[in-house]
Amino acid sequence: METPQDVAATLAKFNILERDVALIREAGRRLEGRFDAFIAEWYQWLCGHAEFERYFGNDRARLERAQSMQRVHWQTFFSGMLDVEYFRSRRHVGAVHARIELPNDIFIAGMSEVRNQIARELGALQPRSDDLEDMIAAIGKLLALETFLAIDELTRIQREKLEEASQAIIEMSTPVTPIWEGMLLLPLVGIMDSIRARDVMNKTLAKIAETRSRVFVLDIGGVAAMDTAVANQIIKISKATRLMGCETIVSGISPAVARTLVELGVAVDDVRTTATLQDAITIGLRLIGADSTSAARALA
Amino acid sequence: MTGHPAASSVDGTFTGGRGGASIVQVDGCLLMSVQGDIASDGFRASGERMLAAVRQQPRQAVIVDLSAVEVIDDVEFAALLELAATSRMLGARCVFSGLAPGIVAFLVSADLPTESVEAFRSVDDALAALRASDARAAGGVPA
Repeated sequence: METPQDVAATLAKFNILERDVALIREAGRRLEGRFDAFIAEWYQWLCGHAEFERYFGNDRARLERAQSMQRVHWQTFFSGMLDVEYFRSRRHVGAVHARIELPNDIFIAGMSEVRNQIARELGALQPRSDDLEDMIAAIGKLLALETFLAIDELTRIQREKLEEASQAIIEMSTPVTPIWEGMLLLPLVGIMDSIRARDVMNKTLAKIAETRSRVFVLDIGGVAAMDTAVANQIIKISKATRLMGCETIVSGISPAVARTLVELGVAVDDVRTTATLQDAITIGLRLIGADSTSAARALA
Repeated sequence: MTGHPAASSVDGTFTGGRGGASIVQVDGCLLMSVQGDIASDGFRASGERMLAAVRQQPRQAVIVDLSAVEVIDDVEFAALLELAATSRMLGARCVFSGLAPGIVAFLVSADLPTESVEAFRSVDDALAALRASDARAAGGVPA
Protein backbone atom coordinates (compact mmCIF):
# COMPACT_ATOMS: atom_id res chain seq x y z
CA MET A 1 0.00 0.00 0.00
CA GLU A 2 1.18 3.50 -0.82
CA THR A 3 2.22 6.11 1.71
CA PRO A 4 1.49 9.81 0.99
CA GLN A 5 5.13 10.06 -0.16
CA ASP A 6 4.65 7.16 -2.60
CA VAL A 7 1.49 8.81 -3.94
CA ALA A 8 3.33 12.09 -4.55
CA ALA A 9 6.25 10.27 -6.22
CA THR A 10 3.96 8.25 -8.50
CA LEU A 11 1.95 11.33 -9.49
CA ALA A 12 5.20 13.09 -10.33
CA LYS A 13 6.32 10.11 -12.40
CA PHE A 14 3.13 10.22 -14.44
CA ASN A 15 3.55 14.01 -14.69
CA ILE A 16 0.12 14.68 -13.17
CA LEU A 17 0.29 18.30 -11.98
CA GLU A 18 -2.06 20.66 -10.14
CA ARG A 19 -3.23 22.04 -13.48
CA ASP A 20 -4.09 18.55 -14.73
CA VAL A 21 -6.18 17.90 -11.63
CA ALA A 22 -8.01 21.22 -12.14
CA LEU A 23 -8.68 20.31 -15.79
CA ILE A 24 -10.01 16.87 -14.81
CA ARG A 25 -12.38 18.49 -12.30
CA GLU A 26 -13.50 20.96 -14.96
CA ALA A 27 -14.16 18.04 -17.36
CA GLY A 28 -16.17 16.34 -14.60
CA ARG A 29 -18.34 19.44 -14.20
CA ARG A 30 -18.93 19.62 -17.96
CA LEU A 31 -19.89 15.91 -18.19
CA GLU A 32 -22.18 16.12 -15.13
CA GLY A 33 -25.37 14.13 -15.68
CA ARG A 34 -23.96 12.29 -18.65
CA PHE A 35 -22.28 9.48 -16.71
CA ASP A 36 -25.13 6.98 -17.12
CA ALA A 37 -25.29 7.42 -20.87
CA PHE A 38 -21.55 7.24 -20.91
CA ILE A 39 -21.44 3.94 -19.01
CA ALA A 40 -24.18 2.49 -21.18
CA GLU A 41 -22.18 3.40 -24.28
CA TRP A 42 -19.09 1.70 -22.85
CA TYR A 43 -21.02 -1.52 -22.15
CA GLN A 44 -22.31 -1.29 -25.72
CA TRP A 45 -18.69 -1.46 -26.78
CA LEU A 46 -17.94 -4.37 -24.42
CA CYS A 47 -20.96 -6.23 -25.80
CA GLY A 48 -19.09 -6.61 -29.06
CA HIS A 49 -16.41 -8.67 -27.33
CA ALA A 50 -16.40 -12.29 -26.21
CA GLU A 51 -15.59 -11.26 -22.62
CA PHE A 52 -19.04 -9.70 -22.17
CA GLU A 53 -20.66 -13.06 -22.70
CA ARG A 54 -18.12 -14.75 -20.45
CA TYR A 55 -18.43 -12.40 -17.48
CA PHE A 56 -22.04 -11.25 -17.66
CA GLY A 57 -23.74 -13.87 -19.85
CA ASN A 58 -27.32 -13.77 -18.68
CA ASP A 59 -26.49 -12.55 -15.15
CA ARG A 60 -28.30 -9.22 -15.13
CA ALA A 61 -27.71 -8.63 -11.41
CA ARG A 62 -23.97 -8.88 -11.87
CA LEU A 63 -24.09 -6.50 -14.83
CA GLU A 64 -26.08 -3.95 -12.83
CA ARG A 65 -23.67 -4.22 -9.89
CA ALA A 66 -20.71 -3.70 -12.18
CA GLN A 67 -22.37 -0.65 -13.75
CA SER A 68 -23.19 0.95 -10.41
CA MET A 69 -19.60 0.37 -9.29
CA GLN A 70 -18.42 2.04 -12.48
CA ARG A 71 -20.61 5.07 -11.74
CA VAL A 72 -18.82 5.50 -8.39
CA HIS A 73 -15.52 4.85 -10.11
CA TRP A 74 -15.95 7.70 -12.60
CA GLN A 75 -17.30 10.07 -9.98
CA THR A 76 -14.10 9.57 -7.99
CA PHE A 77 -12.07 9.87 -11.17
CA PHE A 78 -13.48 13.31 -11.99
CA SER A 79 -13.42 14.47 -8.35
CA GLY A 80 -9.62 14.72 -8.68
CA MET A 81 -9.00 13.57 -5.09
CA LEU A 82 -5.70 11.83 -5.80
CA ASP A 83 -4.83 10.66 -2.29
CA VAL A 84 -3.84 7.41 -0.56
CA GLU A 85 -7.47 6.29 -0.47
CA TYR A 86 -7.78 6.85 -4.22
CA PHE A 87 -4.67 4.73 -4.86
CA ARG A 88 -6.07 2.02 -2.62
CA SER A 89 -9.37 1.94 -4.50
CA ARG A 90 -7.57 1.69 -7.87
CA ARG A 91 -5.41 -1.14 -6.61
CA HIS A 92 -8.59 -2.85 -5.52
CA VAL A 93 -9.68 -2.87 -9.18
CA GLY A 94 -6.58 -4.95 -9.93
CA ALA A 95 -7.40 -7.29 -7.03
CA VAL A 96 -10.90 -7.82 -8.43
CA HIS A 97 -9.47 -8.51 -11.88
CA ALA A 98 -7.05 -11.01 -10.37
CA ARG A 99 -9.94 -12.78 -8.66
CA ILE A 100 -12.11 -13.00 -11.77
CA GLU A 101 -9.01 -13.69 -13.92
CA LEU A 102 -9.79 -10.86 -16.32
CA PRO A 103 -7.34 -10.89 -19.22
CA ASN A 104 -5.14 -7.79 -19.46
CA ASP A 105 -5.95 -7.18 -23.12
CA ILE A 106 -9.66 -6.50 -22.56
CA PHE A 107 -8.85 -4.31 -19.54
CA ILE A 108 -6.35 -2.13 -21.38
CA ALA A 109 -8.53 -2.02 -24.50
CA GLY A 110 -11.42 -0.95 -22.25
CA MET A 111 -9.35 1.87 -20.70
CA SER A 112 -8.38 3.02 -24.18
CA GLU A 113 -12.03 2.96 -25.21
CA VAL A 114 -12.93 5.07 -22.15
CA ARG A 115 -10.38 7.65 -23.19
CA ASN A 116 -11.80 7.81 -26.73
CA GLN A 117 -15.34 8.10 -25.40
CA ILE A 118 -14.47 10.93 -23.03
CA ALA A 119 -12.62 12.73 -25.82
CA ARG A 120 -15.64 12.37 -28.12
CA GLU A 121 -18.08 13.56 -25.44
CA LEU A 122 -15.99 16.58 -24.47
CA GLY A 123 -15.42 17.45 -28.12
CA ALA A 124 -19.15 17.38 -28.86
CA LEU A 125 -20.06 19.64 -25.91
CA GLN A 126 -20.95 23.24 -26.78
CA PRO A 127 -19.47 25.74 -26.20
CA ARG A 128 -16.10 24.11 -26.80
CA SER A 129 -13.59 24.54 -23.98
CA ASP A 130 -10.45 26.49 -24.83
CA ASP A 131 -8.40 23.90 -22.97
CA LEU A 132 -9.99 20.88 -24.69
CA GLU A 133 -6.71 19.31 -25.81
CA ASP A 134 -4.98 19.80 -22.45
CA MET A 135 -8.08 18.46 -20.73
CA ILE A 136 -8.04 15.26 -22.80
CA ALA A 137 -4.28 14.91 -22.23
CA ALA A 138 -4.76 15.26 -18.45
CA ILE A 139 -7.51 12.63 -18.48
CA GLY A 140 -5.21 10.38 -20.54
CA LYS A 141 -2.46 10.68 -17.93
CA LEU A 142 -4.79 9.79 -15.09
CA LEU A 143 -6.19 6.81 -17.04
CA ALA A 144 -2.64 5.60 -17.63
CA LEU A 145 -2.00 5.86 -13.87
CA GLU A 146 -5.16 3.88 -13.11
CA THR A 147 -4.15 1.21 -15.61
CA PHE A 148 -0.74 0.99 -14.00
CA LEU A 149 -2.15 0.66 -10.48
CA ALA A 150 -4.56 -2.11 -11.45
CA ILE A 151 -1.92 -4.06 -13.39
CA ASP A 152 0.69 -3.53 -10.67
CA GLU A 153 -1.70 -4.91 -8.05
CA LEU A 154 -2.51 -7.85 -10.29
CA THR A 155 1.20 -8.61 -10.70
CA ARG A 156 1.81 -8.25 -6.98
CA ILE A 157 -0.95 -10.73 -6.18
CA GLN A 158 0.41 -13.20 -8.72
CA ARG A 159 3.93 -12.83 -7.34
CA GLU A 160 2.61 -13.40 -3.83
CA LYS A 161 0.80 -16.56 -4.92
CA LEU A 162 3.95 -17.81 -6.62
CA GLU A 163 6.06 -17.18 -3.52
CA GLU A 164 3.51 -18.95 -1.35
CA ALA A 165 3.53 -21.92 -3.71
CA SER A 166 7.31 -22.20 -3.82
CA GLN A 167 7.49 -21.84 -0.04
CA ALA A 168 4.98 -24.66 0.28
CA ILE A 169 7.04 -26.81 -2.07
CA ILE A 170 10.20 -26.16 -0.02
CA GLU A 171 8.32 -27.00 3.18
CA MET A 172 7.02 -30.21 1.69
CA SER A 173 10.33 -31.25 0.19
CA THR A 174 12.27 -31.47 3.48
CA PRO A 175 10.15 -33.46 5.89
CA VAL A 176 12.62 -34.00 8.74
CA THR A 177 10.68 -36.44 10.93
CA PRO A 178 11.42 -37.97 14.32
CA ILE A 179 10.99 -41.76 13.84
CA TRP A 180 12.26 -42.88 17.21
CA GLU A 181 13.21 -41.08 20.37
CA GLY A 182 16.58 -39.59 19.51
CA MET A 183 16.41 -40.47 15.80
CA LEU A 184 15.42 -38.29 12.84
CA LEU A 185 14.72 -39.37 9.26
CA LEU A 186 14.80 -37.28 6.11
CA PRO A 187 13.94 -39.07 2.88
CA LEU A 188 15.35 -36.83 0.17
CA VAL A 189 13.53 -36.93 -3.15
CA GLY A 190 14.16 -35.10 -6.42
CA ILE A 191 16.85 -32.63 -7.29
CA MET A 192 19.43 -31.26 -4.84
CA ASP A 193 20.79 -27.80 -5.48
CA SER A 194 22.62 -25.37 -3.23
CA ILE A 195 19.41 -23.63 -2.06
CA ARG A 196 17.79 -26.94 -1.20
CA ALA A 197 20.96 -28.18 0.51
CA ARG A 198 21.03 -25.06 2.68
CA ASP A 199 17.39 -25.58 3.53
CA VAL A 200 18.03 -29.22 4.43
CA MET A 201 20.96 -28.14 6.63
CA ASN A 202 18.97 -25.46 8.47
CA LYS A 203 15.87 -27.60 8.96
CA THR A 204 17.92 -30.56 10.16
CA LEU A 205 20.01 -28.59 12.65
CA ALA A 206 16.93 -26.85 14.04
CA LYS A 207 15.13 -30.17 14.39
CA ILE A 208 18.13 -31.79 16.10
CA ALA A 209 18.23 -28.96 18.61
CA GLU A 210 14.48 -29.22 19.14
CA THR A 211 14.24 -33.02 19.51
CA ARG A 212 17.70 -33.61 21.06
CA SER A 213 18.29 -36.35 18.52
CA ARG A 214 21.52 -38.29 18.40
CA VAL A 215 21.06 -40.01 15.04
CA PHE A 216 20.01 -38.47 11.74
CA VAL A 217 19.22 -40.81 8.86
CA LEU A 218 19.45 -39.12 5.47
CA ASP A 219 17.95 -41.34 2.79
CA ILE A 220 19.17 -40.29 -0.65
CA GLY A 221 17.62 -43.20 -2.56
CA GLY A 222 15.25 -40.76 -4.27
CA VAL A 223 17.81 -38.17 -5.31
CA ALA A 224 17.76 -37.92 -9.09
CA ALA A 225 21.40 -37.12 -9.79
CA MET A 226 24.54 -37.26 -7.72
CA ASP A 227 27.56 -35.12 -8.50
CA THR A 228 30.50 -33.65 -6.58
CA ALA A 229 28.52 -30.62 -5.46
CA VAL A 230 25.67 -32.68 -4.02
CA ALA A 231 28.14 -35.09 -2.40
CA ASN A 232 30.01 -32.21 -0.79
CA GLN A 233 26.74 -30.78 0.53
CA ILE A 234 25.91 -34.12 2.12
CA ILE A 235 29.37 -34.29 3.71
CA LYS A 236 28.83 -30.78 5.09
CA ILE A 237 25.47 -31.76 6.55
CA SER A 238 27.12 -34.76 8.18
CA LYS A 239 29.90 -32.59 9.67
CA ALA A 240 27.37 -30.09 10.95
CA THR A 241 25.15 -32.64 12.68
CA ARG A 242 28.24 -34.12 14.34
CA LEU A 243 28.98 -30.72 15.86
CA MET A 244 25.49 -30.87 17.36
CA GLY A 245 26.33 -34.24 18.86
CA CYS A 246 24.27 -36.10 16.28
CA GLU A 247 25.58 -38.81 13.95
CA THR A 248 24.44 -38.76 10.31
CA ILE A 249 23.88 -42.03 8.49
CA VAL A 250 23.43 -41.67 4.73
CA SER A 251 21.31 -44.49 3.37
CA GLY A 252 20.05 -45.49 -0.05
CA ILE A 253 23.45 -45.40 -1.75
CA SER A 254 23.02 -47.33 -4.98
CA PRO A 255 26.00 -49.12 -6.57
CA ALA A 256 26.00 -46.51 -9.35
CA VAL A 257 26.12 -43.63 -6.85
CA ALA A 258 28.83 -45.37 -4.82
CA ARG A 259 30.93 -45.83 -7.97
CA THR A 260 30.40 -42.22 -9.02
CA LEU A 261 31.48 -40.95 -5.61
CA VAL A 262 34.61 -43.07 -5.62
CA GLU A 263 35.46 -42.11 -9.19
CA LEU A 264 34.96 -38.43 -8.38
CA GLY A 265 37.38 -38.87 -5.49
CA VAL A 266 34.89 -37.44 -3.00
CA ALA A 267 36.13 -37.83 0.57
CA VAL A 268 33.26 -39.94 1.89
CA ASP A 269 35.43 -41.66 4.49
CA ASP A 270 34.08 -39.65 7.40
CA VAL A 271 30.45 -40.15 6.42
CA ARG A 272 28.69 -43.28 7.58
CA THR A 273 26.81 -44.83 4.65
CA THR A 274 24.54 -47.83 4.16
CA ALA A 275 22.93 -49.38 1.11
CA THR A 276 19.42 -49.57 2.50
CA LEU A 277 17.25 -47.53 4.81
CA GLN A 278 16.70 -50.63 6.92
CA ASP A 279 20.43 -50.99 7.61
CA ALA A 280 20.63 -47.33 8.55
CA ILE A 281 17.75 -47.61 11.00
CA THR A 282 19.25 -50.75 12.55
CA ILE A 283 22.59 -48.99 13.06
CA GLY A 284 20.80 -45.89 14.31
CA LEU A 285 18.82 -47.81 16.91
CA ARG A 286 22.02 -49.42 18.14
CA LEU A 287 23.69 -46.00 18.40
CA ILE A 288 20.90 -44.54 20.50
CA GLY A 289 20.95 -47.62 22.66
CA ALA A 290 17.66 -49.08 21.51
CA ASP A 291 18.01 -52.68 20.43
CA SER A 292 16.28 -53.26 17.10
CA THR A 293 14.52 -56.46 18.21
CA SER A 294 13.02 -54.74 21.25
CA ALA A 295 12.17 -51.84 18.97
CA ALA A 296 10.42 -54.23 16.62
CA ARG A 297 8.56 -55.69 19.56
CA ALA A 298 7.51 -52.24 20.71
CA LEU A 299 6.24 -51.43 17.25
CA ALA A 300 4.33 -54.70 16.91
CA MET B 1 26.44 -21.82 37.54
CA THR B 2 25.31 -25.18 36.23
CA GLY B 3 22.96 -26.26 38.98
CA HIS B 4 24.39 -29.76 38.74
CA PRO B 5 24.25 -31.49 42.17
CA ALA B 6 27.82 -32.81 41.95
CA ALA B 7 29.28 -29.48 40.89
CA SER B 8 31.98 -27.86 42.97
CA SER B 9 33.75 -24.69 41.99
CA VAL B 10 37.39 -24.96 40.95
CA ASP B 11 38.23 -21.31 40.67
CA GLY B 12 35.06 -19.80 42.01
CA THR B 13 35.37 -16.71 39.85
CA PHE B 14 33.26 -15.60 36.99
CA THR B 15 34.87 -12.76 35.16
CA GLY B 16 31.62 -11.35 33.78
CA GLY B 17 31.78 -8.34 31.52
CA ARG B 18 32.49 -8.98 27.86
CA GLY B 19 33.41 -12.61 28.16
CA GLY B 20 34.83 -15.40 30.21
CA ALA B 21 33.91 -18.71 31.71
CA SER B 22 33.13 -20.38 34.96
CA ILE B 23 35.03 -23.59 35.63
CA VAL B 24 33.54 -26.24 37.89
CA GLN B 25 34.34 -29.84 38.65
CA VAL B 26 31.47 -32.16 37.74
CA ASP B 27 31.54 -35.91 38.11
CA GLY B 28 35.30 -36.19 37.63
CA CYS B 29 35.27 -33.81 34.63
CA LEU B 30 36.08 -30.16 34.32
CA LEU B 31 33.13 -28.20 33.02
CA MET B 32 33.93 -24.87 31.45
CA SER B 33 30.78 -22.81 30.81
CA VAL B 34 31.69 -20.14 28.32
CA GLN B 35 29.80 -16.85 28.55
CA GLY B 36 29.69 -14.12 25.93
CA ASP B 37 32.62 -13.17 23.79
CA ILE B 38 35.31 -15.80 23.10
CA ALA B 39 37.71 -13.28 21.56
CA SER B 40 38.20 -11.54 24.90
CA ASP B 41 40.85 -11.35 27.61
CA GLY B 42 38.32 -12.83 30.01
CA PHE B 43 38.05 -15.99 27.95
CA ARG B 44 41.82 -16.29 27.50
CA ALA B 45 42.33 -15.99 31.26
CA SER B 46 39.63 -18.63 31.89
CA GLY B 47 41.30 -20.94 29.36
CA GLU B 48 44.59 -20.63 31.19
CA ARG B 49 42.94 -21.34 34.56
CA MET B 50 41.27 -24.37 33.01
CA LEU B 51 44.58 -25.70 31.65
CA ALA B 52 46.20 -25.14 35.03
CA ALA B 53 43.43 -27.21 36.64
CA VAL B 54 44.02 -29.96 34.06
CA ARG B 55 47.72 -29.98 34.90
CA GLN B 56 47.01 -30.39 38.58
CA GLN B 57 44.79 -33.36 37.91
CA PRO B 58 45.58 -34.88 34.52
CA ARG B 59 43.66 -37.70 32.77
CA GLN B 60 40.35 -36.09 33.39
CA ALA B 61 38.08 -34.92 30.63
CA VAL B 62 37.13 -31.34 29.87
CA ILE B 63 33.68 -30.28 28.67
CA VAL B 64 33.54 -26.87 27.06
CA ASP B 65 29.89 -25.81 27.16
CA LEU B 66 28.99 -23.24 24.53
CA SER B 67 25.21 -23.08 25.00
CA ALA B 68 25.41 -19.49 26.25
CA VAL B 69 27.43 -18.39 23.21
CA GLU B 70 25.45 -16.79 20.41
CA VAL B 71 28.12 -16.10 17.82
CA ILE B 72 31.45 -17.71 16.96
CA ASP B 73 33.64 -16.36 14.17
CA ASP B 74 36.65 -18.08 12.57
CA VAL B 75 39.18 -16.50 14.95
CA GLU B 76 37.15 -17.52 17.98
CA PHE B 77 36.71 -21.02 16.59
CA ALA B 78 40.50 -21.27 16.15
CA ALA B 79 40.92 -20.24 19.79
CA LEU B 80 38.55 -23.05 20.84
CA LEU B 81 40.45 -25.60 18.72
CA GLU B 82 43.72 -24.44 20.25
CA LEU B 83 42.30 -24.85 23.74
CA ALA B 84 41.11 -28.38 22.89
CA ALA B 85 44.48 -29.34 21.35
CA THR B 86 46.39 -28.00 24.36
CA SER B 87 44.22 -29.85 26.86
CA ARG B 88 44.65 -33.05 24.82
CA MET B 89 48.40 -32.51 24.97
CA LEU B 90 48.08 -32.36 28.76
CA GLY B 91 46.32 -35.69 28.62
CA ALA B 92 42.69 -34.59 29.01
CA ARG B 93 40.03 -35.46 26.48
CA CYS B 94 38.28 -32.26 25.42
CA VAL B 95 34.68 -32.25 24.19
CA PHE B 96 32.27 -29.46 23.33
CA SER B 97 28.58 -29.18 24.08
CA GLY B 98 25.63 -26.94 23.29
CA LEU B 99 26.69 -25.54 19.92
CA ALA B 100 23.72 -23.60 18.47
CA PRO B 101 22.36 -24.57 15.02
CA GLY B 102 23.23 -21.16 13.58
CA ILE B 103 26.86 -21.41 14.76
CA VAL B 104 27.18 -24.94 13.36
CA ALA B 105 25.75 -23.88 9.99
CA PHE B 106 28.31 -21.07 9.84
CA LEU B 107 31.31 -23.23 10.84
CA VAL B 108 30.50 -25.83 8.20
CA SER B 109 29.61 -23.42 5.40
CA ALA B 110 32.85 -21.50 6.07
CA ASP B 111 34.76 -24.78 5.63
CA LEU B 112 36.47 -24.47 9.01
CA PRO B 113 38.34 -27.58 10.20
CA THR B 114 35.73 -29.27 12.40
CA GLU B 115 37.05 -32.83 12.07
CA SER B 116 38.93 -32.84 15.36
CA VAL B 117 35.94 -31.53 17.30
CA GLU B 118 34.09 -33.98 19.46
CA ALA B 119 30.70 -32.51 20.24
CA PHE B 120 27.55 -33.30 22.17
CA ARG B 121 24.17 -31.69 22.25
CA SER B 122 24.20 -30.88 25.94
CA VAL B 123 26.36 -31.15 29.05
CA ASP B 124 24.17 -34.09 30.14
CA ASP B 125 24.85 -35.96 26.89
CA ALA B 126 28.58 -35.24 27.17
CA LEU B 127 28.74 -36.46 30.78
CA ALA B 128 26.82 -39.62 29.88
CA ALA B 129 29.15 -40.37 26.98
CA LEU B 130 32.27 -39.74 29.05
CA ARG B 131 30.94 -41.96 31.84
CA ALA B 132 30.14 -44.73 29.33
CA SER B 133 33.62 -44.65 27.81
CA ASP B 134 35.14 -44.62 31.31
CA ALA B 135 33.13 -47.73 32.14
CA ARG B 136 34.31 -49.41 28.93
CA ALA B 137 37.92 -48.53 29.71
CA ALA B 138 37.53 -49.90 33.25
CA GLY B 139 35.93 -53.09 31.93
CA GLY B 140 38.77 -53.56 29.47
CA VAL B 141 36.44 -53.27 26.46
CA PRO B 142 37.98 -51.14 23.71
CA ALA B 143 36.13 -47.84 23.25
